[in-house]
Amino acid sequence: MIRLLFVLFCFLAFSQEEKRIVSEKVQEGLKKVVLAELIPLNQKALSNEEVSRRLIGDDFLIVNGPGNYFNILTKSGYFLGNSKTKVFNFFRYKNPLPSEFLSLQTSATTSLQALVPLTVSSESQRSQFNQRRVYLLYPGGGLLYEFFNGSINRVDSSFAQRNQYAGAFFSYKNQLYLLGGYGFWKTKSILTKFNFNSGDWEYIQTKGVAPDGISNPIFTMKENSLYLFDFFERPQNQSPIKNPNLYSLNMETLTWKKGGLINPSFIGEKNTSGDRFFNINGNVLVNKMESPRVFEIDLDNNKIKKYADNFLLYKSGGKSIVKNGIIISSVRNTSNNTNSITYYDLSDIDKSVISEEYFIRGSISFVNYLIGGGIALIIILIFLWLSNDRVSKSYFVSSNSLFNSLNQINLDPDEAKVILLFTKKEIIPNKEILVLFEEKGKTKDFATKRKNKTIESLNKRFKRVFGKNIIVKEKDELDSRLTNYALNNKINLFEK
Amino acid sequence: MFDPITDRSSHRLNATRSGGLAMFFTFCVCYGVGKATGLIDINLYALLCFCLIALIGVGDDLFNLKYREKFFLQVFAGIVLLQSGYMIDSFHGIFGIEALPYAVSVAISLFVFIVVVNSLNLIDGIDGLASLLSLKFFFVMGAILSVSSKEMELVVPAVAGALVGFLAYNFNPNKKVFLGDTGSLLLGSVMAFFIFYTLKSSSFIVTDGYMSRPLFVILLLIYPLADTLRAFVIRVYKKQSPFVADRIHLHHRLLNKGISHWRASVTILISSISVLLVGFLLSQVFPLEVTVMILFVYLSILYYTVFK
Repeated sequence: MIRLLFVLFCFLAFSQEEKRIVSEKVQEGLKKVVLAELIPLNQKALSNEEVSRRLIGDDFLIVNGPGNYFNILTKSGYFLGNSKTKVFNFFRYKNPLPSEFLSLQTSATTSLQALVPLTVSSESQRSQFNQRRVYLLYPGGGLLYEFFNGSINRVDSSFAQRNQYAGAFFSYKNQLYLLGGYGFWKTKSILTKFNFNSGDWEYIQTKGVAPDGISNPIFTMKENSLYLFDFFERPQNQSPIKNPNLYSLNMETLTWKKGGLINPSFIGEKNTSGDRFFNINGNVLVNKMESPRVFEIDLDNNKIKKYADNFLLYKSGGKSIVKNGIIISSVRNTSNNTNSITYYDLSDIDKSVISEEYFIRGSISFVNYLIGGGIALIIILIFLWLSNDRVSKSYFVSSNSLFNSLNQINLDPDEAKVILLFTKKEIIPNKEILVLFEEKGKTKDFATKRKNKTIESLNKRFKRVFGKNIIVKEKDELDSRLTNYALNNKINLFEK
Repeated sequence: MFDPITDRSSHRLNATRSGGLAMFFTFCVCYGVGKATGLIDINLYALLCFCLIALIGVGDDLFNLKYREKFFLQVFAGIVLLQSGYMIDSFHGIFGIEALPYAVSVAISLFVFIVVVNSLNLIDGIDGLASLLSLKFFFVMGAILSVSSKEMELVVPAVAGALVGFLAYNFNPNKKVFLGDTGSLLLGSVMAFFIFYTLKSSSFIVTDGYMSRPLFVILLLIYPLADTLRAFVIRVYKKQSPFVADRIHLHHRLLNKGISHWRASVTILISSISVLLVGFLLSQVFPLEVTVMILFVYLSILYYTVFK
């Protein structure tokens, strides 16, 4: 009786606190959960359906556990589930939840779902971490909690920094890092590391050109490098921009490197905070909320596979984990606000492949561009050659010189008179040219000699400078006894 | 902006030096449209550098600046460009050196900037040469950027398009237009920026798997660099100022053989493409040192068969 009264008192106190911070609807849901959990469940194994019925609303987290086990954290306790038997047990937390859990100020109306969970696994049992520890990060960075041995405890001595919302929370060599995030009206690409001794987050200086900001990235650790992609940049007071590149941060040298442009068919998809990704056998499995598609990204072989989302992962709202090759996910039923815990064996995923493409543009795109550029260059050269051929025929005549764009020869008055005739027509009968040289009191033979001398001299000098004759002597087509003078067909004359 | 007809001039008709300015305006319009539609994004310091260089070029075209003044202004523009964060921060294994200290990196980047900008200016002595070699550079760089930088890949078509438009007028005897200092300096500065991008260790360069980055960059600019170095050495050897204008460039040798500007430019373009291809193929087979040695032999053969 005393125990029941104590529990009732705790419930009333808890629900009074909640009233201040949660909406009416969610509060109603939470009450139901808490009421349901008043029944002592520790001794009773729960089926998958029973647990599903108890997960009302959004305020729970699925996190990894040791071996075949996983945990579903709620505010009043946690379900320990077995991924093989699909049987659960409910346990209350050994210690009360930290007070910050009830005063989270995020866009979400509830608290647990806003936390970023990170399971830290290590092969070394001597190390600081083991598979049983799950770290939960407060939105925006700063406050850090550890779910271990049946209780959630705060492990930092920091404060709610609100500077790194939606950053990349990851572990490397038994250390916790938070990279990038959004805060104070712009995205950041800063790297902070949690110091387990002091309980503070330390700023880590990186080298190279980092992205302008990193918000909601997909990331995976390969060897010593953290690979990031599909994230938003949001410079000060500007709208968010999707960064189309793959980036890597070498955690040994702390140097940023760009890795190439990501396939637009992947990056073109919208990214929301509900997107989920898993690291499986060195590949990254990505689920997009906006469309029922699952992508498997193979960074080593530069491939991306697109699968149909047969297992409704997009309905999980990001509440899913991969355990021993099985996706454990909550699928939300929007009609009654309940969640079903579902399991999907990843060995079946190949049956739903839709397409396979390259992940980042690589050598093939480079070669294609080069071939295209080469063809364009050849077309430009042909165009210029044709243009140059036309240009090379162009010569200009002034009163005392004949020239093109490169060179010129001076003309005496007789030569100028002859040349000017050719600016009007290309073939001129001999008699028309002869008229120019006729003088009163002089014989026709004199005029002929002067004409011949003038044309010969002109051709000689022109050939010396431009490499070809300008005037060609030919017989008339109609009367072969008549002689005509024609302009070389490789020359166009213009009067200037 | 008319180019005066002097003894060193190759043209006999009035021609303007406005090609570079037209290219700059074309680039500005393309960038404006690209930026507004979110297709192009270049670092603001780089843009500022291009504008400064274009201004220096316009000043030189209008008032014939002294080379000391030009040099000082170019150094200033180079420092602005380095603020973009793009600089040569690594030797990528050449001489066994990888990452460079910041001060060394700045000094080398500034030196490379001055060399590239002025080498483009120096080879702009015959019709089409600087533009055709720039086209080659931008087509290759476009391929690099198409893989590694979506925000800058459209810069290449913008510049190449402006160059093609210019080339049509460059070979037109009636309406002849030269690049002028505005154009050659601007092209040089844009090239220098992309070289910094390529040599920056954090950039993803798709050719890394095939050849050394510094060798790739040198082969891309082989003619401007080789010609500038050769002219510089000859002038110093003759105890002349290395900045004096003369007719000792390799392209002048081709003109002296009676080859037209068009043929000379295309010959040099094809030669420089062949050097890049040979370097690329050799890099697949030989280590860097052997590749460089064989390339020297190939360059010597080219020199004696084409230019001698």
